[in-house]
Amino acid sequence: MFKKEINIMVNNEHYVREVAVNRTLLEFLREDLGLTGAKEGCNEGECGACTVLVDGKPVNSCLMLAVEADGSYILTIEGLAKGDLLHPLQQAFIDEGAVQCGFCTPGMIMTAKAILDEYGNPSEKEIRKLMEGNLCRCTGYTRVIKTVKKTAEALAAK
Amino acid sequence: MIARFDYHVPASLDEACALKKEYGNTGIVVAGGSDVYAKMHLGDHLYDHVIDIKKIEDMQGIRWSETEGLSLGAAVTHHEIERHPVIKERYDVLVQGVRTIGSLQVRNRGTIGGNICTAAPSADGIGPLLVLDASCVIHGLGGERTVPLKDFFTGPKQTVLADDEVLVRVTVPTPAPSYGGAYFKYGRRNAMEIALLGISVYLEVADDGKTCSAMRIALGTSAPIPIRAQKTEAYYIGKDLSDRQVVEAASSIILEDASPRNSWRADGEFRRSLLKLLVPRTVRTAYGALTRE
Ligand SMILES: Cc1cc2nc3c(=O)[nH]c(=O)nc-3n(C[C@H](O)[C@H](O)[C@H](O)COP(=O)(O)OP(=O)(O)OC[C@H]3O[C@@H](n4cnc5c(N)ncnc54)[C@H](O)[C@@H]3O)c2cc1C
Ligand code: FES
Ligand code: FES
Repeated sequence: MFKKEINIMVNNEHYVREVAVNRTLLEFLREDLGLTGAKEGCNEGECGACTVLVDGKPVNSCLMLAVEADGSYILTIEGLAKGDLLHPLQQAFIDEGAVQCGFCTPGMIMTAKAILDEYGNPSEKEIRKLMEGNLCRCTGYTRVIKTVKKTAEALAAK
Repeated sequence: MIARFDYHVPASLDEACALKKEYGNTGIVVAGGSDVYAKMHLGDHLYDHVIDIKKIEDMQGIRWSETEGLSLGAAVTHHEIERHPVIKERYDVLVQGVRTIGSLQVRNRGTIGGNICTAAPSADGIGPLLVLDASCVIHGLGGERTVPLKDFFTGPKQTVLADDEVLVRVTVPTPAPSYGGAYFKYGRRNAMEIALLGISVYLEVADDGKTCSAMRIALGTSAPIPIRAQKTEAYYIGKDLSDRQVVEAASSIILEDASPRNSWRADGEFRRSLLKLLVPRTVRTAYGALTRE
């Protein structure tokens, strides 16, 4: 088959769409659904700018086909805030100045969210290791890692 | 963009094998796709047919029992392996290896079967499985066969898999209650790095706590295929592993097992000195990691 109908939940919205089988999940999100938060940096799995969560797990959406996400729940940066209330990670990235040009930020925040969900309150060293798949050309990482750590601590204290 | 292809999702092993045989060089088997789709994006490695096998039941799941050992479905991801409680406790050297693969995102998609079948000399999942004495369960149209992992690779990026065969599971015997394991990946930076050298060690000692009674060493990126360093392994048997000089002395033997050549990543001379330095060091790390009752 060259096209296939997929059934997919994206940020709490249900979609039934026909897609070309060679369409990546990233292309589907950006071009078919207009969700342009996830970015295309390399299309090789190197930069992490395209990171979204598939059934809670961070993946490079450039290396996955839309048809492979059939039946899955996708969370992108657009689905993180609750109305006007930003997710604690989003708010912290702003408050701590962990965003410069912002190109890497959606991917960074999605990976960070998955890490906090899975590991709770990991050490700074663990955060560094787990976020190695998200490249940033601007911040030098220090602020990003500190912000994630601080948010993890705040959430764990709740 | 990935060039157009026809997409097949076989429901059974036999169906997958039949499709693989039918499409031959015009088709490619895909599990996690972290290797295949990345290459397709680059525009080389184009295929008319993608055969997606990762939903096949027989390739799923991690099974373990003391008597049967570990059985990993070929479609099990690296992240499932690194998070598995029994693997962490009993097969730590495998966790050390797969943890170094790509990134969390890559490990959530990349599978152990894909890592083995890519047959890259640098694959970080292969060395640990080699020293754990793993075997490959292979399915073809004629039935099933089991091949020791050390015999699975036949040449650069070449495996024993026939036109109609896929890898179904990887089995790993239960290691000794007390053993030392270590994986050392040498790269230029800490993140997202293809190994310039990957060294895996598994060792056991006698009751005195220091005389080597079993030694298995695997080397990645030291030859066209992942290899076991059998001469070096033999040297260590019966030796006192608590004696640093004795451990270091293997550096004069290691080049009989492997003589890495030049590549764009590093020249052979550099890799040879790394081997002499790092193989004994990894043996020392494994000895230090020995689980003692
Ligand atoms: C950014 C990035 C970083 C990476 N870093 C590392 C690294 O540090 N270390 C490392 O070892 N690897 C690395 N890789 C390579 C790759 O991710 C791993 O080798 C991974 O395990 C491949 O698994 P997969 O399921 O994604 O394979 P796929 O891409 O699905 O397949 C790979 C190959 O195996 C074949 N295949 C897969 N499953 C089977 C099966 N069951 N039977 C028969 N043939 C099969 C396919 O036909 C194909 O030839 C990296 C990749 C990327 C994109
Ligand atoms: S665009 Fe997907 S990892 Fe760079
Ligand atoms: S803020 Fe610019 S790439 Fe990270």
